[in-house]
Amino acid sequence: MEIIKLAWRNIWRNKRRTVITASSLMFAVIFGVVMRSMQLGTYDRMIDSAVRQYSGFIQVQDSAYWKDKTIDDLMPDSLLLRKEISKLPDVTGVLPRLESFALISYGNKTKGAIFQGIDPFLDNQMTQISHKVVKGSFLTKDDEGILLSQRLAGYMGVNVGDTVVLLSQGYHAVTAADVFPVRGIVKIPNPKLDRILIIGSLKRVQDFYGADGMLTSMVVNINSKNNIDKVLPEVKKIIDSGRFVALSWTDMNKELKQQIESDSVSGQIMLGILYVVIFFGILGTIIMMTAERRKEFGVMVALGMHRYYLAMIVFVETILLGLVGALTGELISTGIVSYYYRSPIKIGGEMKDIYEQFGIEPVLAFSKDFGIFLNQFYVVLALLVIAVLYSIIKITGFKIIDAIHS
Amino acid sequence: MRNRTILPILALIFASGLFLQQKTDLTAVEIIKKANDLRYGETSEGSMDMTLVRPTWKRSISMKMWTKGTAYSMVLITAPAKEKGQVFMKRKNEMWNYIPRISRMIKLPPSAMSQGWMGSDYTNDDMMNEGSLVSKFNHKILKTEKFENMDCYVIESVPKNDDDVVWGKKVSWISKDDFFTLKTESYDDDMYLVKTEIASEIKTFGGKRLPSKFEIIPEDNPGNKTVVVLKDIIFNKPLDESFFSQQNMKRIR
Repeated sequence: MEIIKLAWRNIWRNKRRTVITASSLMFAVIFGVVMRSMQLGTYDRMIDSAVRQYSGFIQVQDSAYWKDKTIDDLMPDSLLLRKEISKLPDVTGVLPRLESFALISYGNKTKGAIFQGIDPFLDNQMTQISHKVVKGSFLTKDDEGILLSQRLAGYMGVNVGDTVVLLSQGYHAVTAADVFPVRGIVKIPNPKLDRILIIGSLKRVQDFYGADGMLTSMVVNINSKNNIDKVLPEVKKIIDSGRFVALSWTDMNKELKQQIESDSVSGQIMLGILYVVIFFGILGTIIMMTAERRKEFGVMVALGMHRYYLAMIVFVETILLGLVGALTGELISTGIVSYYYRSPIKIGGEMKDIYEQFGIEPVLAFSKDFGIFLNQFYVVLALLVIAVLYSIIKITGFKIIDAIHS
Repeated sequence: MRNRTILPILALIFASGLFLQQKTDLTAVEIIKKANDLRYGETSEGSMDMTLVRPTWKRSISMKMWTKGTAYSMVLITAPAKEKGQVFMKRKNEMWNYIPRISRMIKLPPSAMSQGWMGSDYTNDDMMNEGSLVSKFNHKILKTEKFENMDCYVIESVPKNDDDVVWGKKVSWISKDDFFTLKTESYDDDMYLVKTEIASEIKTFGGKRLPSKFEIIPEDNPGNKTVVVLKDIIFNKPLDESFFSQQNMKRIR
């Protein structure tokens, strides 16, 4: 206790040095936290727009479907199986889906699109898609009409209430052709999907493709993507492994996963460089401090203070200094992160186009994951401990006479 | 007296010799043309069932078909209910598809020519260019051999102009007696076998003997085939060119 008191007084003896050191630590923490939070938050957003809104974290499919994704490899819908999977812990919902390619035609324009059949009620519970309807209304159960994604509707020049023609090849090569009234226009966050997605009620889409009671997949959503390794084996246990497969979002979105991984590595390298710079900054101040206080240390030891005790005091001083700097940093970065968490940075101009070409929503989102804060804290303290070894070695090794005369 | 009897006999022998000579000396083009005329006649009107056979499923479609020469044809789907009323029409080099459910007339683009017709192993090109085998290819008799217990000419047909035709060559087995095209092999530009068409089950339709079952077996998808069974067909019933019109596609039942 006395050590802490002494150390606390010591660090405030030279306020300027303390403030400089503490603020360098503070900025290190702020930079580290904000940078990492922005990266991880953006990944979460990418995963959310591609996975939660579209493919789901786990999909159960006919075992032949994934290879060719043809509408001939469908699975029968089964309420029983859906119920069984949704009873698993951490599973938040199981959604039936039927989707395939279709040509959409209106006036003189025709475009390729994805026609997706959903259970409007269940899907909305999961994705809140009805909040994304920007014009018109959401689908009702077994609705005869369809929703168009915003950019697709814009390109086609279609408005709510218009009737469009869809044309495709259905189940077992049946001709799929029909007219659909447009019920609403929906804004899909993922720009790639926003250009091609048509949504209809499951019943209507099954009817269109001549695939009554059939699905392309059951989408299993879970409460957190971190639980996927727990849930996936359970799902695999339930399904008939001869006929069906359960795929995780990383199996289905290999591209996205690799994109995130490579970007994450480059972020970690940047962070590493930042740490190196900070480490030498800290080491510099500690060397300076040790040199400045050489005489003081010499006098203390000459008066009978144990070198060991002195080293302890210096160590605790540094830790206290670190705590002051890092905690202030944490506080400030919490403020920054929670502000941007609520209102993410929207990218504009040319960067926006580049992002959209890659199929990424042009938004820098932030993550509030507690682990990010904790990690930065640990890293900065660890750097301090390594740096303070220098002054401890000095203290245990100096010659008293030289020190007093310096 | 002697001369009187011998002369006609000689004449007969001579004539029959000539006739025989003529029969064996049929050129490849003539054989192909005869086989083609047999199948299509001047005009034809018939109905048939097509079955798509796939490793895990099969599906049948019923249709009616009208043809006039090689330039015009019309196909009306009569079953199943979901596709009933769909019409395909070929007029010279153009192919059209009418879908009543969406009241749209669709012109099939050249790029769709090598795609399967109604999901079958028949390509749209098969539908279109059936008749052009005679005119767009050079034909050569390779040999004669027995196929399904019938003496056949084996004729190799190579396109005159590569640009017009999707095939590298076709080899046909045509029976000597009746000019039935019993088997046709189609090769791509690199001379790999792409598909084989086999005709069998010879029946009499309106006094004309014809194979009634056609199987198309693609080479690259084992387990896949398309079987067309002719239910009835009548030939040379007068049919005006104007029958093959877009207006009629919408009317026809």
